[in-house]
Amino acid sequence: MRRGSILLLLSSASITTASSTPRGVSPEGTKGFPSPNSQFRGERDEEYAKLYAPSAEKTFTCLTNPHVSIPYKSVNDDYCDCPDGSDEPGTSACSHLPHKSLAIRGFYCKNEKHTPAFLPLGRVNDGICDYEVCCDGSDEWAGVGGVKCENKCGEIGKAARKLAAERERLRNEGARKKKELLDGAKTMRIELEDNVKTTRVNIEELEEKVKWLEVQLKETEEKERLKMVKQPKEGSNLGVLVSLARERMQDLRTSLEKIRGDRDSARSKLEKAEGILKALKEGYNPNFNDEGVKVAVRAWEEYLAQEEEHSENRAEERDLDSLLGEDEIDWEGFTEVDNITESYAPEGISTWVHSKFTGFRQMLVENGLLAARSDDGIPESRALASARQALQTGKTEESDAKSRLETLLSDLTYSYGEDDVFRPLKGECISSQFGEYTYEYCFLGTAYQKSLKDSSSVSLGEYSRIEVDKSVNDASTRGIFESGWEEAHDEGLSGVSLIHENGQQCWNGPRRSVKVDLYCSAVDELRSVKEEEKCVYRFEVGTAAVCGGENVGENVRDEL
Amino acid sequence: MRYRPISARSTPVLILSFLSLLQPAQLVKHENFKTCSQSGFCKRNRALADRAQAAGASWTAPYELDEKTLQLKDGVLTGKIWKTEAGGIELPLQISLLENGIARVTIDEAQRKAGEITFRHDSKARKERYNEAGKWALVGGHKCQRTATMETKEGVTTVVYGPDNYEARITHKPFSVQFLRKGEVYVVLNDRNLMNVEHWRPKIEKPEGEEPTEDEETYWEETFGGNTDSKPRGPESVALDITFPGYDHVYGIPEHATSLSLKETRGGEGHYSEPYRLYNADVFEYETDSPMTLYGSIPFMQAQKKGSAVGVFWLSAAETWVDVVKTKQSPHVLTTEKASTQTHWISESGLLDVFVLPGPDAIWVYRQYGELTGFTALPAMFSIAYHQCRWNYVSQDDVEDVDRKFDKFDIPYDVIWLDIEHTDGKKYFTWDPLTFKKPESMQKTLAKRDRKLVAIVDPHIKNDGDYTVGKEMVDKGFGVKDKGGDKVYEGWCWPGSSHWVDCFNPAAVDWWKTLFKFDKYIGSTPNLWIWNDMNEPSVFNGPETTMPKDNIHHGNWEHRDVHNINGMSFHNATYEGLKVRLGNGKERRPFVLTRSFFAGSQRSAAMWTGDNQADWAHLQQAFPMLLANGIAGFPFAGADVGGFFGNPSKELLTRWYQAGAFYPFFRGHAHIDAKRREPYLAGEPYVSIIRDAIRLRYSLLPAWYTAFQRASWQGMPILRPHFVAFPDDEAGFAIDDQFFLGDTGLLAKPVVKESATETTIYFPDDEVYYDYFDFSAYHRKGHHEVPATLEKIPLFMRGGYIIPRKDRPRRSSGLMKYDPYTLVISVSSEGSAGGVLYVDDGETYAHESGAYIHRAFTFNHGDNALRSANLHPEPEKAAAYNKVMRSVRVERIIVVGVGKEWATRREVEVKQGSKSWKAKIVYTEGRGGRANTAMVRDPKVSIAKDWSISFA
Repeated sequence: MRRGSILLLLSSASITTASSTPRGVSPEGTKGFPSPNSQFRGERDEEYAKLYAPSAEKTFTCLTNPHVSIPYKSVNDDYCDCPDGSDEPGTSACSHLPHKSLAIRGFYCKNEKHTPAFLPLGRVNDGICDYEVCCDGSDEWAGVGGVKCENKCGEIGKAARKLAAERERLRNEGARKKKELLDGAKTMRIELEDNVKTTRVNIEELEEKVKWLEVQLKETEEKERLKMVKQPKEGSNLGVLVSLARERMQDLRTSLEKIRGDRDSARSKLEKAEGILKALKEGYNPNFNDEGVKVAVRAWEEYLAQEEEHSENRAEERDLDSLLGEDEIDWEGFTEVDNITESYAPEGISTWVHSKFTGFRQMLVENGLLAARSDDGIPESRALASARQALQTGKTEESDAKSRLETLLSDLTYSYGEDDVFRPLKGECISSQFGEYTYEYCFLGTAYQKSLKDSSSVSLGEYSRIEVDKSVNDASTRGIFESGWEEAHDEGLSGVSLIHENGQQCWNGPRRSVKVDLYCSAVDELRSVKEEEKCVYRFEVGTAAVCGGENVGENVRDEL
Repeated sequence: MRYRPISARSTPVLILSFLSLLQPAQLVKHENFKTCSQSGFCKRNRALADRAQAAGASWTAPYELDEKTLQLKDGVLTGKIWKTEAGGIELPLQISLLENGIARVTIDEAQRKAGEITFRHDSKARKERYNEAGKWALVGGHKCQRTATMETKEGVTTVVYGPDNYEARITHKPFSVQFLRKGEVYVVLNDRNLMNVEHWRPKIEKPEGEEPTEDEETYWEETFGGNTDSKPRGPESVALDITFPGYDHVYGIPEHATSLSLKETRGGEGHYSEPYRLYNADVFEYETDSPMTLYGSIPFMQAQKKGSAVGVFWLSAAETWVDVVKTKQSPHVLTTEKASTQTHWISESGLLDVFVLPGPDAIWVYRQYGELTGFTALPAMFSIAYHQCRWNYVSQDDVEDVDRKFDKFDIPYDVIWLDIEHTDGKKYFTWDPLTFKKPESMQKTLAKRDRKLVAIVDPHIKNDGDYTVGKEMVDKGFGVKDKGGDKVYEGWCWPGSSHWVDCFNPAAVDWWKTLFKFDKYIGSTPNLWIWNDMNEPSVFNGPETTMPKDNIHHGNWEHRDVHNINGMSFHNATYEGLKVRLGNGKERRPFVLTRSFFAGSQRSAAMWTGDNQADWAHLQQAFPMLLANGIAGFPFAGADVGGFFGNPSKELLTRWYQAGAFYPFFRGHAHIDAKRREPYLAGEPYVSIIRDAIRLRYSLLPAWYTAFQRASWQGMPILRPHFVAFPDDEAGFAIDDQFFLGDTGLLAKPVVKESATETTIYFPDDEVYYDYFDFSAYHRKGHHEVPATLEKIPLFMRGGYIIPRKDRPRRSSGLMKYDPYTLVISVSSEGSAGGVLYVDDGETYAHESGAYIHRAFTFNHGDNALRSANLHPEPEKAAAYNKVMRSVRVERIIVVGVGKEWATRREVEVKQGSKSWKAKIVYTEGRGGRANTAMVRDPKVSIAKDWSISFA
């Protein structure tokens, strides 16, 4: 028979297997059915099954198109009558309908000794035993192309139950671990908050202390200043200022000279680099299909287009030359003026001039043009020095405390995920070998790729943020059909990802980055590493931080 | 440097002008590829053409046929042409008049044939002009018209031959040939006296101080881009002008990124100023709307005028340039004279060898060309389904993940591909030991859903002492040699230092074939097929990114002689290897994809248009290129869906899938630096629209397969341009953005413009055209605005056809084998329709011994009934296969465009064999400009049997 079987089976009216509901109809109703069209969500099982019972007139009414009523013998006759596919739950006849039009979830496999499941209609009677969904082989009832699918629910169910039990055990363990993490996080937060409090108190005390020290210093200074004014002067202050300015000028000249030298060497380096790029542009082989080289060549062309001829600016050079040469300022003359004002002026004016000069100097000092008085060479009194020292120390202590507080506060407000769950993980590192590399991942830190060949290490990115993708388990991301067991071996992703960016630049691509997708695991582990696009990595990392609460057994069944 | 005028220009055809408007920034490195003036022989021959034009009537050509030497025997005319220069050069002429009406004109050079010459640099190159191109390109053309007759009168010899009394009028002085059918000239050789055969001559050193002539400058040595061609044989080009009188459109000579109707090449508004170049090369980031050379070449050209088509095939494997100009139409209003097309063919070396295909229409031209170079191989079914490729799927897990995702998103696909990174250090026939640890188990996983794997194998073989394949090749002397002829040539490609396998060597081919055996290609399974890339050959450090022309191949032929065949010699060898790997009697139709190709490649490979870009201009460019390939006998062609370089927007990607669903070869591909773009990643609504496009392809696979069968049998293109389907409608001659699919009457114009919501489609006649999806009816010849929002593919059914399809989307085409058919009847304005279906097992060669189904469906040819009749010429040979298929039924018949009187029909009468039964029919009235339809519910007729359904 084999190939001849379809027609045969079909003509022998199709409708029922041994039981009373037609083939492919779920006795459970459409629970969990994803279509928004379905008006049967949550409907009680027995009512749903009743819809597939023949009416008194021996008709069947399409589930979501009640105006379409067909002879009951047309149910499962391998011809699609209902616009919602509900007349063909047991064949592939309605598989061409758009997903959004379908009122049935698929072909229902009883899978006795295991969990019932729905197979997409297009997979019914296609010659493939879809054991991942229909372990009972009931999907290939027509024997297309001679296929025979024996019932494997015994072994598959057993393996799946074992897997489910193991999964549940792991999840429960994960849940316990998560609780530990949360407890840890709580403790850490309390400690942090305590620390913040203590630091705040400390800062208040220090602020008081600094205020007091400032007063002390001012008083000491006042005393000293009065002393100083009365002292006879050895040299005029203007003289000191001029000589300082002169010195300062010399310093500037020296550093200008140095900068000019640096500029010249930078310029010659630039020329060399431009030479390299020019050679690259002329000589590169476009067939290496090397994005990096292409980007470089294009950027170089743009650069050339923007860059004006940077011929050396002669006028600018001349200015520099004259600045660096001996200056024309009559420094001596200035000193004399100083002397004149200071020496020949009446007492009152002298004091006035002096205070103006002091003010002026003050201004210069404040603006960083002149060094503070302590450099004047005029020795300070011990009292003044120690007052200043005390204040300095006090201020340092204060600012240390403040920055400590800042760190604490930013840590406290930093996003460590819900309930700070990642806080205890920070700094924890895991590693795993894939291909020719060992990958090391430090939670909320940096990811590295270490070559097994030359032990070089490359940063793939530093932690930047948490991303939560609620759609990770949605049809738009996971696919519109549920997974089979082959995938059920691995714990599913949680939707929580840690984003790491700004890794080492790829010489022919972007800066490396890693998206770390997390799944629930009692032990921290790095399960897979993929470079799906050049220098864009994806890690799958297991951690208890994303585990659910205890008793997650229900989910397991759903996935199977 | 750029030879293409950038200035805005208007072209007579709207479609062409927006092609150029949307052109992206030019990225191709023009300076890496020669212009005509940088290619010595092209420059010399173009200069000759210029001199001829300047001289006008006073131009004399130095080629004279010696009347006394003429002989016609068994359909072959032989004689001597004297080149009246250099003391007279003897050029043996042979004109073969083939049975199917083709005439082959071959001109050789006597002194080289006899070997009475010497080459410079002690070159080992052969003395003869290359005369083996036919060995590679031709499968037919051996049978001649023994009844041909000859008559000579007043310096003209007339040969009459062929079933329709074709004539060849040969003028002796100067030599030229006119080809006539029913007294009308359709092709003239040497019409303009541009014929040129550069004879061998010794190099004579000029006395000091004397400058060489302009021509002589490029006789002996040419340097380009730092590479010097030693040219040991000196100048040796052949050139000829070919005129198509009254034919104002020419098509063909792929591969060029240009319009289907070829533009003129001698400058002027809307024209190119460079000839079309045929010199297979890896042109990085090629630009659209350009006569530049690309990866493959087929020197076949078709000329078209109202009601007639003819062709020429210029058999040369050497670098070739083709100039196209059109004579102006006569300014006199009353004249009916049409423009003529004049072409000028210039090849660097080899014989002057040209075939004239008399047509008289496109159907005959394709058949004649196919009889010469072979018809396209009937591909395995999976290979015309959807292919998923990327440079690169990085690991076995990656492959299996993509495979699963397609299923989870309910998107069918048949083949997943592995690019170069899957190998161990770019050593072909190996697997990366870390990322592809268990290739067999991966292929087994794919095979579970009847899916295939394609892996890449390129002709550059890594120069690595530990690589067995490389070592064997060099030890056995199977590599291409450098110009000395003794040492294996070394150049650079993906693996770094490499050698190139010389598939011109039969022993090398035998060896290459063994590499595909399962015990040699470790990790391969019968589920693995091959992609031959870089076979131009691409040599990164070679002149124009290919091999030096003075390299030496088997038989001491210079690379210059065989260059354009190199790619084909390689993919042929791969094909042979794949065909025999399962052993006698177990052959499967191999699938080989090639980038480089030549006339004849259609017998063993599919091609794609190489490294295109993810922009709208390249999406637009693809159809003209695929159409050109299709009419040049190589219809199994596609372009990378999504665009190879760069990242397509979601709209562009979606539109590209809609277009790709109409590429004979349908593959999504992406560059290694591009973002992932598997169709399920696009997000809604894009994923659903892309799924619909791919499902449409799968649903129409029976029609596609039937079209391929016709191509493999009679050479008809799969995608048919308007000039093929409507050869009398001149308004359609330049259209290259819409086309018909095989014999289905389906007219498609996939959207290739950004942000479109509607598009203008051209209906070439007053027959009714129905929208494929909603049955809106259009009744008038001319341009129509039709909806083209993102989810909509403008696709129409011409009235009068019956389209076979399968409406059960499966995970792969293999799983659809026994699925029931749906027949869609588009009723013509006269009320009738017809269609064809070809079915076989889709993978073996059993069809060659008759195991296939070939049905003709007719509707209402007199009796208001739909019938299935057998087209199989030897039905008894199909008996066993019919038995396998007899339970495969027609589950649905949709009749589009029925009259109102159908509204009352409830049942139809079905007859099959001696039995008859009733089936239900449901009428739906069409509203808002839509056609009325009637659907026959499950008539339960077998696809393998004769039956009839009466609607009376």
